[in-house]
Amino acid sequence: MTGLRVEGLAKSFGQTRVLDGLDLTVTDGITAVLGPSGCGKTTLLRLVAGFLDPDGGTIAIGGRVVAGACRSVPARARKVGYVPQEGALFPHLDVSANIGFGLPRAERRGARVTEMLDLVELPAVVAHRYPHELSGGQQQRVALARALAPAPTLVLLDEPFSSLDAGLREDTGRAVARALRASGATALLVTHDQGEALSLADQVAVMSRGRFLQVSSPADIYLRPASPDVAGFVGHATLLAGSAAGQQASSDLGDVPLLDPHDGPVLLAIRPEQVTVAPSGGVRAEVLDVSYFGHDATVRARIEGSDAVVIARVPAGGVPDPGSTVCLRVSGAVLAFPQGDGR
Amino acid sequence: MLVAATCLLPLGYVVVSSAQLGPGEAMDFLVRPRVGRLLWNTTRLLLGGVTLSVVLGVACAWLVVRTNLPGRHLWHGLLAAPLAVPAFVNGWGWVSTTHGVRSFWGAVLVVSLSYYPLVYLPTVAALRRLDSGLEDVAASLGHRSVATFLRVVLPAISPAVLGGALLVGLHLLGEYGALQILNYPTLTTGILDQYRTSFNGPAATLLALVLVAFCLLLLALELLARGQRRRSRVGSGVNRLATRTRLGSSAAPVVLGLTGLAVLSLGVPLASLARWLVRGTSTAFPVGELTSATFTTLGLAVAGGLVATVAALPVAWLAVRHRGVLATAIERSVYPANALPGIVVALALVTVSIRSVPALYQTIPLLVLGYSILFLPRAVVSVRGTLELAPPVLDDVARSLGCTDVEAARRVTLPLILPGLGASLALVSLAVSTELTATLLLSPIGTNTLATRFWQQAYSVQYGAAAPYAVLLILLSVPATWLLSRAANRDGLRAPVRPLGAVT
Repeated sequence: MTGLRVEGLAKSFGQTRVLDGLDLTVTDGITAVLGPSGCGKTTLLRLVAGFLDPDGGTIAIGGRVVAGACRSVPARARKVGYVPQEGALFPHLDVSANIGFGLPRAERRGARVTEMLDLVELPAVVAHRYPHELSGGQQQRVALARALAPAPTLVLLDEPFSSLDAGLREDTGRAVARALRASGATALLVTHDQGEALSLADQVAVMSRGRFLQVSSPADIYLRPASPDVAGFVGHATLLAGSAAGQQASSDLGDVPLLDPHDGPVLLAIRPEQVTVAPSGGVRAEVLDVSYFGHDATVRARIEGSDAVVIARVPAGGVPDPGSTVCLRVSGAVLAFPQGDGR
Repeated sequence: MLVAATCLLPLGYVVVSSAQLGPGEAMDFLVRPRVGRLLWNTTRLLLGGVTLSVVLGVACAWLVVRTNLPGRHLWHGLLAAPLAVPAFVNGWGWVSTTHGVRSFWGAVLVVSLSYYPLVYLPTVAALRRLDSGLEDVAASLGHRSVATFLRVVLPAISPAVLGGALLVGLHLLGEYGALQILNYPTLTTGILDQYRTSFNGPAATLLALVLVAFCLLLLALELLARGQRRRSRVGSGVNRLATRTRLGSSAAPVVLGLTGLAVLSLGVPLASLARWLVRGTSTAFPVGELTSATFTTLGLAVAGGLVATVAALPVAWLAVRHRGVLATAIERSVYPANALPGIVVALALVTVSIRSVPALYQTIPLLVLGYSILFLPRAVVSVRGTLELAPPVLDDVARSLGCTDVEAARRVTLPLILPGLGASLALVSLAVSTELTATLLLSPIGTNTLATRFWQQAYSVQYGAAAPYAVLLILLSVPATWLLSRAANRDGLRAPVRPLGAVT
């Protein structure tokens, strides 16, 4: 049984077409919808939750059509859990009343609330605190517990970690993922943070301007991006024009091996970690600037006799000075996207 | 829509009925020397009263918030307290003490002592909200504290000061009781005189038109002075605690000055109240009359509060949840009535009811309607503030957890806005209970409120007989004043007194 199936979903606000014929199938586990702000991902979430009605297409949750074909099941009857940005806990209710909100009256103060607190790894003492007495991370966990308490078929999370600071974000993210997996619910997580999407999800859907560019596993998204756009958006990639002949392509970085054989003009997508920086042996380039992170550094360098700027990741020990000349070499096979003659 | 239309009724009435008069006739009336004197009196009272109130209000606010004045909390209470003494009671206190105040300067003094808290409270709130980092930066750039105050602090708090000044101005324009008892004729007292002699002649309407023009002029001046400059905070960050200026050797004269102010604004009316209660020849405690007036007042107050709060709900709802041109227009239409003095609203309702629905004339529903129009903005401001605490995302969550719209309203929105509805009810009720001008015009014959009973006694120089009513009036005003002063003293972000939010 599939958790969520979306077909041909379209939505416009006035003249703006926000969603343009979207297809998505979400099976078990966590699916992340990754895209820049304004790409329509929150609209998708609100359509699935039932806060908005689509202009076209269908939405089916757990095999039941909830929107489309002249019918629309109201949000309250969709059995969908919703975790908005910043949690949006009910400020007048304490934690246990928040979690019990969606339960039948008899169960609101019962074991289910304790069970949920346990699931999101919060101590029982917070049950009688009010939202303003909780940290941001705790608020998010309570919001998830509240969404999971009525045992929904599908849980929707709208940028749930964007308001947390970096350290808390990772911890909370992992805890939320564990709780989601333990509850067995299917989850749709909307985010603009690629680290979050790649590390937490089982499936990533990359979205741009109302369409999905690629839907596959995190590893596939990173290692086998379907288009130069995806390669550029998920992780850094230097896009370099080249000319392919079978397993090899020639480019400003010299001859590089290809993952798949191609012939003719191609666009090479080279990950920063594939570029080695050394004092000698390779293509000469001038270092433009260096961002030092401690564990490693990112170097931007311009290839001599060319406009091409290459991004390379170097270990903390061997960081060149800006302005110096270094040699660049590509290690390992690179991705190539065939280019039409028009380009 | 209906609410907005009702609120625009008084303004429409003034314009329409003035238009019915020939322009020649109108000019003849307006250039009469008596009208000229009223205009001059009103103008100089406005200038004097607003200036003195601003000076007193800003100086006191700065002393309380930004210096090491001893006993700041006590002073804050004392400085806000004059709001609890209705201006006409204050005027009565002064007149029954000395007839020296029956002059221009006396009038300026008495009205300023009554209304300076309207500047003081918003200024206190603005000073507390002001990020003292700004002052620290100015100091680090080499400014001395006076220069810092003038160049950094004053511009930053000027919207609050201007808003307060506007409130004082509008109150002064609408003030009837205090000025009548001080024998200082202005446009408003002139209108009531005309109304008394010719019932509802064109003269009263024309004066009302002039009064409305004054109000609109004040509103325009305030908008102009406020300008388009940005005053929002740039960047985020937590407000730091302000460093307080040391008063040092000037502490003693400052305390002396504040004590003097408290004596003048509170001591004089309260002392004369006590004096009349104890040894006034006409003092009497007609228990029956006092109780019936109190119950009438409370009944009208609660009715007015309820109607205004209920009417405010859809207006505030539209303004918060459905921002748009129409919603803003409806919300804004509520405010003009608020800038109109009670007397104009009352006059409009009298005329309209006589012409269109005679059955309503001199009835309680019409009186309650008048109160609601007058005080609706207070209700809208409180309800609006509280609705903003219940963002729509909470409704979404409730619906996704299986609530119908009605259930979501009952379990989420209502509990969140209940305190605001309560505050709105309280604020409007308390304003109604001390309202004099509109009540005099609109109340059915035989319906006596505390304010009108007090007025009848005080006006016929039965000072002693008026005293018990004054005590009850002050007691009724105390809770609202306490609410307002507490709100100003909080570090919260909401301004307790919005520019147009609390005009009588």
